[in-house]
Formats: sequence, structure tokens, C-alpha cells
Amino acid sequence: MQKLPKCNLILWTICLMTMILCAGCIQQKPLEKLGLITTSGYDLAGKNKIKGTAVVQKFDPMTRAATKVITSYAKTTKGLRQQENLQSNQKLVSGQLRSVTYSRELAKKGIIQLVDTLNRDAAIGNMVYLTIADQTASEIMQIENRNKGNLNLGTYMYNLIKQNVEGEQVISPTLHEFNHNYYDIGRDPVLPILKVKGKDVIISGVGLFQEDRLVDELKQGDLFYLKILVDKYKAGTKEMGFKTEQLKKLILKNENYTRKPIFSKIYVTVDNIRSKTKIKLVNKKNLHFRVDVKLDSRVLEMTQALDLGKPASVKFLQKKFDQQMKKKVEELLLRFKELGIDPVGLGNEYEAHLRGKTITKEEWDRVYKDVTFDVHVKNTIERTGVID
Amino acid sequence: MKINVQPKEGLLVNAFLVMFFIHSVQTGVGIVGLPRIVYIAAKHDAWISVFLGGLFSAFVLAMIVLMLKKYESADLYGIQVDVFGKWLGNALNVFYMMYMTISFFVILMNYIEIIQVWIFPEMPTWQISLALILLTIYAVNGGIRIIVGVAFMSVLGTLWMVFILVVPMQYADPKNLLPLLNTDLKHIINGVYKTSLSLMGFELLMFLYPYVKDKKKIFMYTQIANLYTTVFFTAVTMVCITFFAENGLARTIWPVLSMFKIVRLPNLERFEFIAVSFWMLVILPNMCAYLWAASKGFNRIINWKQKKGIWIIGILVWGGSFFIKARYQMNELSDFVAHLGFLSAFCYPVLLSMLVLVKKWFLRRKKSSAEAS
Amino acid sequence: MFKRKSENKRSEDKKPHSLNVDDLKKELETAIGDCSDLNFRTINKNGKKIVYCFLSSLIDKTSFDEFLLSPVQQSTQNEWTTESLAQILPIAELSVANQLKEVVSSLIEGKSYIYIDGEPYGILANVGSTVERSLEKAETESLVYGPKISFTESLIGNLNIIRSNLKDPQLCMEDITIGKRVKTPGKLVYVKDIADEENVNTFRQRVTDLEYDYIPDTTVLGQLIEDNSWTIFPQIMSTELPDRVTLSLMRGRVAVLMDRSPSAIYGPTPFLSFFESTEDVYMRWNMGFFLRMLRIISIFLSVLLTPAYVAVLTYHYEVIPSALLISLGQSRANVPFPPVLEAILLEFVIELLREAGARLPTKVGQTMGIVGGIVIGQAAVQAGFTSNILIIIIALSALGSFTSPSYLMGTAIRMVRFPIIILAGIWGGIGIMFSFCFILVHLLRLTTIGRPYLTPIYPFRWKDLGYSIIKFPTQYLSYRPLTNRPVDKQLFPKHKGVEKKDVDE
Repeated sequence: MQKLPKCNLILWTICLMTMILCAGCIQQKPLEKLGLITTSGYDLAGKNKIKGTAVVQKFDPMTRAATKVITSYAKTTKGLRQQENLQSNQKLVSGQLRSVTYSRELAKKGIIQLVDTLNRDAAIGNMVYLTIADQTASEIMQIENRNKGNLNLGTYMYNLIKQNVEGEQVISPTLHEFNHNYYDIGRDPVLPILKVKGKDVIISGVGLFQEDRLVDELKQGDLFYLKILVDKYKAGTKEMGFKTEQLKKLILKNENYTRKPIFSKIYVTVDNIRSKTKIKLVNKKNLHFRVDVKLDSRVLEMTQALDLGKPASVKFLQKKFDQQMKKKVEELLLRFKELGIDPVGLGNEYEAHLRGKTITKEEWDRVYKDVTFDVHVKNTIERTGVID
Repeated sequence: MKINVQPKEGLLVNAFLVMFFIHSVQTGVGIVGLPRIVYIAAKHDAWISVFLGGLFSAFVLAMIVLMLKKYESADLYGIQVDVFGKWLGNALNVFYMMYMTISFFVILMNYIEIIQVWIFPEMPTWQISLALILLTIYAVNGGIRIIVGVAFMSVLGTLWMVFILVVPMQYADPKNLLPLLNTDLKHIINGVYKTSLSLMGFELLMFLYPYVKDKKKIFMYTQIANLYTTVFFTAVTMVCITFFAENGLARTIWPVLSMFKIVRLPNLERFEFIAVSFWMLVILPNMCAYLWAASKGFNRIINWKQKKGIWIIGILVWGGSFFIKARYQMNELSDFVAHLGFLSAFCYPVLLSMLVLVKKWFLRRKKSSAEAS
Repeated sequence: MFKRKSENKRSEDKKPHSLNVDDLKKELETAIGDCSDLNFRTINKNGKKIVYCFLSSLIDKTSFDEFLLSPVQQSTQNEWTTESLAQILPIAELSVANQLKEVVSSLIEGKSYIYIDGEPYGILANVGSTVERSLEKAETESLVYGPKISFTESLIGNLNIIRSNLKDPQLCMEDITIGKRVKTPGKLVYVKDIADEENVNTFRQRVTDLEYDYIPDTTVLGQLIEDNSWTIFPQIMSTELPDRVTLSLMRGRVAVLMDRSPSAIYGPTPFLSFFESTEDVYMRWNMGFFLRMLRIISIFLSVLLTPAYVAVLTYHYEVIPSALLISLGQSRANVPFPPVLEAILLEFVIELLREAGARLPTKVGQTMGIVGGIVIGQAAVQAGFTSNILIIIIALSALGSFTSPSYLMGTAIRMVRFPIIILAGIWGGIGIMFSFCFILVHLLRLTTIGRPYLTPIYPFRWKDLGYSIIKFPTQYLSYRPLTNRPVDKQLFPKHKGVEKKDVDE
């Protein structure tokens, strides 16, 4: 047993006094006194003004989780926050922000000025989803009101996008990816487009950006090819249509049944697609790129019975797939070239081979108009299900 | 002043633990901003700069160990007095003490700034600096064994953060690293210079040396520690370069913490809050080691009690924390300390070790010629 | 033939008592005083007076009559001297004395003083009887597996148990006296060629240097000789299980037992040994390992969970995943207090319940426990006094802190939680980390009997990890833990443990 050394005593007294004085110096943010903004939308509202609609989740002991929609007008997002606070009985915070929607008009003009604050603010995470509204963002936010506050729009939209990203229907539209693509010279961002349908919100397509301006839109069918080029598939699905004559060789002839087909074309769906794409710069001077796509899939549905028992017929079907996909991919790449956008990342590939000098955005834009491609697609149908 | 320090048997530390000490003192607040600083200098070959920086520091470490081996058990204070004489040596000692105090101050202020930006914007600087300084004083009062223990536990406790690096790698784009060796040599050298601020800290070996038990194994353990630090820093820089877009990395002030933002554990959404809190455990050994080495000067030069010196430096640093308010002030101070550190931790020990080698060789020649005659 | 007592000499007056029986009686009465039950029995034999002096509450009447009175009464000796008297008394422990102080202290110990008039010395015969209980099951420490007897209040009985457990000729039991005014006998127990000389010396020196009036129990003794009394972490282990003591003795530790105390203390005990239970030894290594990990993790979580709840709900709402958000928010919406106050209030209620449960008579204790735990908790949630998630968290932490095998360490863990909760309420996540760093530095600074508190983690002895945190299979543990610096290091020859036979050999 020994006496407390004097310097330790001084230490403890100072510490204790600091603790007592410090209590209350930091602003407390108790959960139940906050209004959590879970999703917000931005529209242009005249010259130099934006309209913001926020869906706020509140904790009310009287009811079950209550949500509220608040609209306001200002010039910056933080200005909007101040106006929104005037309409709320709880302090509004954006730490739980899950998705942000911009109106089409705003997107056509450029969204980077609004995305910049999402980057700077340390309270907002990097995995916020960015989306574009088909018409205005506020009509999407107002769905919450139409559902009488039962929908919990923030969680709904978050799950809507997340589930589709995991199901490989949509390219991941997180804030981080948008940043990465925007700041990269050789790549342009891609964001999903949301539409109101009745009382619900659905994903109606994908928007193609040139830097931060919306330029074009892709529907679901072409989205498949974009995702093949940009990303890879682990378990994708694709519906392909062929004219009856193209696959006449394969049609199963069974004399016992005389059945007339319902459709006028033959549609085959392949799923469990695993794909890998390699884009290589073959010739630096001519800017000739070679695109190699490899797919492994299985056939699970066909609108007319085809005979796939023999290896030769499977090979034939594969070749038909190859041809059709190659055509579609080439169309898509040409479309991108004409619009001057590059969601695939050809610029990055070019930069990777650029030795000695660097390239600026304007130079690349000029050079991009002269690129040529060479597309090769190779399909492998692994299985056809439990029957032949 | 005695050149050699012979501490008591019970105060000695195993050579194995020196490894943890060196690694933890090198890893501090520097690493959170390292990728950006080097990227601005050397573009996407920054990782090569970091690796070369690590090799350079390995070389300097080897020279330091060589110099220390020439003496029986001396620390930097003793060596400087031995080489330069009493007055010049003590003046250099005082200068080194001030350098270490400023390093301590910079580490503390950097960490407080990170807290103020990421978690608590309203926290007054003086409160948290007071708490951290008091914690450091409490640890340093326990002696060098406690400080090495803190370093050991800090490395063990933050080992799991290394594995979190795997998560950003899923979003990485390896094409960002190509083409290799695109930048010219001048920029790479510039990058090496910028890395030096983050790799500093190993000069504290010069103060730890008398307290190590089996001094023969020091060389091996310090090189292992430095190698591990180099590999780790290089890996972090590579992941940062591939994770961020080109111009994105140049704008993100603390890339390592921004990378933590995407980690999502099942029960915790935003991992960076935990990472910033855990960073306290990472910088605690740094602060303790610098404070201990700086206050040892009081004991060695003026023969005051070391505890008095600890309190004096602590109060000085706390007073200094009132003066830094804005980001640009912090930037200027960090740059100043970076230049100072490069000279004091990299260039000066090499110079000093060469002087020591010359002097010892000279003395040996004189002695052997005196014996022969 | 007889043993001369050597230890209790003090440097006060060395005056022998008077040689006359009557004067002797008067001197003894003045010394011990009227307020004691001093009794005399005088026998006249061959003209010489033989006086028996004893304290009637301390002697065993039967052995007194049978072994002291009756041999003398029936003896037909002619010469009555001290030596001849010593020949006929059938007592195992006989000693001689003639100092008044020595006689008085021996009378208080339960001996009887027999003096023949005129002789230079008298005989001290030990016919004391002590009231003690029979061997029972351990109460404060419970085991599922393994021997269950516990120490009793009699020193001789306890030494009997230890000697029976450890039939090692090198087992050394040194006499030490504990206390200054009331000199309680004690024993310093260690195995001579296993325990480190320095440890034994430190123990011996600390106990004998104590200048304390009366030390009631070995736990008080532990508090008096430990290194740092300002910390909440115990540095000396006290136990009432003999097999724990024997296990630690064989690992090189030193134990102290005291008369009238049903527990033994042993040291040096590093931090992690407070989380070891003897069951880890008796069970197979995988189960022992699993149980130890479970214990350490549950204690760690019990310290961390409540402060984390407080910090997240007060400052860091962004961390909550969206699934939990609504339930957390709704449950907190009813509560009028900030999370810090709510947590401290509930912790206080749990401590209240625990303390009250320990004091209640067993018949009422069970009911009150159920009432307190379930009904109050339920009612509190419904009244809007607290949130149900916090009740779950606090109950889990309370359970976690009770898994510690040592009661002292369990209390320390519970007490440590309060400052961490307060710091979490002031500074959020930074506060929790700050308190962790502080506890870390504090544990590093602690020493137990001069040895570092956090071995084998720091200083790092990787060979000892097999004993403390992880549990290796027994064939790999061929040496004793190095942290106690044992002199004899080997338990069994190493090669025999890992000998492997080839296929079909």
C-alpha cells in the first residue's frame, strides 16, 4: 500500500475537472429528436433556383414510424436544408441519406454542382444512390404522400435499386462510382432513370451522361449489352428473338403433335450468364480497339421446342447468338461514338498505353471521334436444363 | 554528462519488441494523407516512390544502427556531446529536443483536426488536446517499458484494419496503374521526398538503444519492421490509386479514411466513425515516444527530473494548441515539420554516423600507433 | 525431546516469572487480567506444588483431564523435576518456557502451563481445542467439474488438505506471524525448487514487515501487501478451493494461509489468470479453449455494449443500419431522459438488484430476483421509462460480467463500466476509445508482486500463451509457465509428448 504520488494526484484532478467542464460542449444528436432525411429530390425552379423535396422519417411515440414530405426553394442544397428546417418540428439531418434524385431537366444541364456537396459533407456516406427522375423529382417524392406515409420511400427506393444491382439488372449508381467516372477522363457515368407508375416508383431505363450532363437513355434491352461491356455478369438473364427461318433447322419435329406456335418469332431466354469482356487497344495510331466478349450460359426457355440434343445443333445455336450479339454491340458502340460519350471506358484503355505524355479531356473528345472497333463475341451454352 | 546510459536491469526491453516499436512509431497520422501527397508529386507511379522511400529509410536505419553499435550503450544526447564537444553538442541536443516537441505537437493537432472534420465539427480543440496530453503524460510517467508496451498493443489492436484493405480492392480499377514508370525520375524523387514525412519516426531508435536487452539483434529487427512498414504503405498507396479516379485522388484530403467510407459491416453502416476512433490507438505510441525522448533531454542535459520536463513540455504543447485554427495554418505547419524532419531524421543521422565512424577509426589508429610505438 | 520456541521473542523485558507458585499465580492474574477465564489447578506431589494454568475457554477438557492431570496423579515418581514431568506426559507438542510474556501469549493460544515450584522452567503443553466446521462444498466459487471441497477456518486442517493433495517432499510450509498486536499464525507455502527465490522473498518480506494491529482475513492481508491499492483491478488472487492453490503451487506461485481464514491468497497473478477457471484444466483442451474464449469475449462485450449504445444513440446516428433504425428510434421516442442517464439508471438498478439479492435470506431471494428482474423490467418499458433494447443490452452485459471466475475481477469489470458510459455520453466514440487507451496504459503500469501485470501478452512470452489465452493440447505443454520464473522448468520430457508412430506400426 502506498500513498498516491503527487503528480498523479494533479493529473486526476485536472482530468476530472475537464470532464465536468466538457459535458455539453459537443452538440448532442439524440436519435429520437432528429428528423432523418432518407431521400431527397432536386428540380430546377426558374433561373438560379432549385426546388428541393425531402422525405423525412420521424420518430413519434404516438404513431408508428411517421414520414413527412417537405418542399422548399433555395439556391444551394444547404440553403434548402435551412428552409426545410423551418417546416419541421425536429432537427433535420442527412446522415442517413440513402438516395438522391435529380430531375431530367437538371440532369441535362449538369449535376456536378449538387453532387459536389455530397462529397464534401463528411456526414453523408459514399454509397448513396444517385438517380434521375423521368420528369420531375418532386413527383417521385410525392408518392410518399399518395401512399399515406405507409411506403417509407427512402427504404423502398434504396431496396429497389439495391436489389436490382445485386440481380445484375442495373449498373451500380453509387456516389462513389459516379465520382470515379466523372473525374476520370476516359470514362463517363451512367445512372438509372426512375418513373412514377400509379402509386409506385419503377426503374424505367438508364441515362447516359457526358461528364455530368444527361445525353441519352437506354431501355432495358440494350442495357444488357452495356453491362456486358462495362462490367461482368455472374448470373445474368437475356431474352433473344430470332426469325423463324433462322432457327428452322433446329425446330423439333414431332409427328405426334400438331401444334401451331403462338408467336410469329422464336424467342430464347438464356440465363445464368457468366460473362467476361476484354477491351484492348490494338493500334495506337489508328485508335483501333478490339472487343472480346465471352459468355457462358444455359438455355432455360424457348417459345418453340428446339432440338438441342446433338452437339452440332448446339453449336449452330451458339453461332446464331454470336451473330446477333455482335450486331447489337457494334450498334451500341457506334451510338456512343456519335453521341460523344464513353461509358465503356475506352479512354482509360487508351491512357493505359499512353507513354510519355498525358492527355486532357478536350484532346480525348476530339480523338474519340476517330475510334474504330472490332467486336468478337463467343457464346458457350453449357446446359439446357433438365430436359434436352 | 555521461555519454553512456546504463539503465537498471529491470528497465530493459527485449529486442523483439523493438520491431513493434519502430513500426508503430512510423505509422501515425502520416499514412492517412500519404497517397494524396505522393500522387500530386509522382502521379500514378506514386507507389514506386513510396517503395523507394522505404528503401531509403532502411538505409538510414542501417547507418543509425551502425553508429550506435560503436558505442557501448549511448543515446543521441551522449553521441552528440561526444562528437561535437560539450557546448556545440548540447546546443544540438536542445535543437533536437525542440524538433521532437514540435513533432509531438503536429501529430496531436493532425489527429484533432481529423476528429473535427469527420466526427465532431463543434469540438473545441483545447478540450480534446488536454485529454490526450494528460493521457500521454500518464503513459510516459510509467517509463520506457510502458511505452514499448503501448506500441506493442497498438500494433496488435489495429492489425485487423490491414485486412479491411480488401474491401476497396473490389472497386479497384487496375488500369489506373498503367502505364508503369511513366513519370520521369525528377517527379519520383520528389515523391520520395514527400513520403519522408510519413516514414519518419525511426530516429527514436537512437533514444531507445540504451534500454534494449540484447543489442546484437537490433539490426535484424529494425530492418524487418521497416520492411513491413514499407510494404504496407506501398500496398495502401496502390489501392488508393486504383480506387480513386485520377483527379479524384488529388482532391481527397484523407484518402485512407475516405476509403473506409464504403466498408459496410452487418451491424454498422458507416465504418469510418470506428476507424477514426481507433486511430487514437495508432497515434498514442507516437505521441508517448516523442514526449519521452524530448523530456529525457531535461534529464540528460540539465539534470532535472524527467517528470518535471514532461509536465513542462505538456503544458507548452497545450498552450500551442490554442493558436492553430484553420486548415491552411495546419498545412503550413505540417510542411515546415516535414522539411525539418527530413533534415533531422534522414540527412542528419547519416552525417552523424559518418562522423562517428571517422572519429572512431581515427581514435583506433591513434591508439594502435601509440601501442606500436 | 522438547522444542525450544524461538520466534516470539520481543526485545522487551526478558524477566522470568517468579519461582514461587503463589507469586506466579498473582503475576499471571495481573498480566492477563480479571476479565478473562484464567484458571488454576494445584496438585501436591511429594511435597512439591505443581500448578496448572490454563484459559478454560480454550482448552479441550477431556485431553486436559486425561493427558495432563491423570498421568501426574497416577504417577509414582519420587523426583519431580521439569524433565521427569516431561517424560510422563503423553502430549505430542511440549515446550519449555520461563519468560512471563511467553507464558502469557502461549496461554492465549490455548496451551496450558505446568510449573513445578522452584524449577527454572515450566512446561507448555498444547491441549487447545478449536471450534471448526467440517469440510464443505465451496460457496462463493462454484464448479461444474472437479474436486469441490473448500478450505475451513482451521489452519491445521487446511495444511492437511494441501499436503494430501501435493505429496511432494519439496513442498515447503514456512511459519510466519501475521499482525502486530494480535499475532495470528500463518504459513507461507511454496514448492522449493519450482518457485522463484525472488517471489518467495518478496512475499516473506512484505508479510513480516507489516505493522498492522489485527488482520482478520487473508483477503485483508492481500489488500495490505499488494502493489497498488488505488486501482480497481485485483493483483493477488484469493480462493477457497484447495485444488486451485495446488495447481498454482505446481506452476511456481507462492501461497499464504492464515489461521481462522477460510481462503488462501496466492501470487503473482497476472491479469489473464483471473479469467482462468479450474474447469479449463479438468476438461479436454478444445472445450477448455472454447470456454475460455467465451469468457473473454463475453467480458469484453459486456464492457463495450452499453457505452456503444449510449454513444451511437447520442452522437452517431449515422452508424445504425436501416433495419434497426425504426425499432431503435421508436423505442427511444418514449423515454424522457438522454441515453446516458437512462443507461446509468438501469445499471444502477441492476447493481441494486444484485446487492439486494446477496443480502436476502434464501427463502425470499429467489422470488425477489424474479420479481425484480422480469416484472420491473417489463413495467419500466411499458411505462415509457426506458427502452426495451437497452434492457436487453444491460441484461446481457450483466450476464457477461458474471462469467468471470474470480469475484474480485467480476466486480472490477462491473465498476469499470460506469466511467466508460459517462465518457461515452460526453465524447461519443472518441470517449470510448479514450477510456480504452487509458485502461490499457493503466494495466500496463500495474505490477503484481513486482512482476508485470499483463504477461504473457506484454512482455511477450509466446510459450506461455498456451496456458493463458489459448489452451494447447496437453502434449504440447511440456514446460511450466515462464512468467513465474520457475527453477524446474520441465513437466515431462518433450519428446514423449509428440512421439508419433508410422502407419500400421
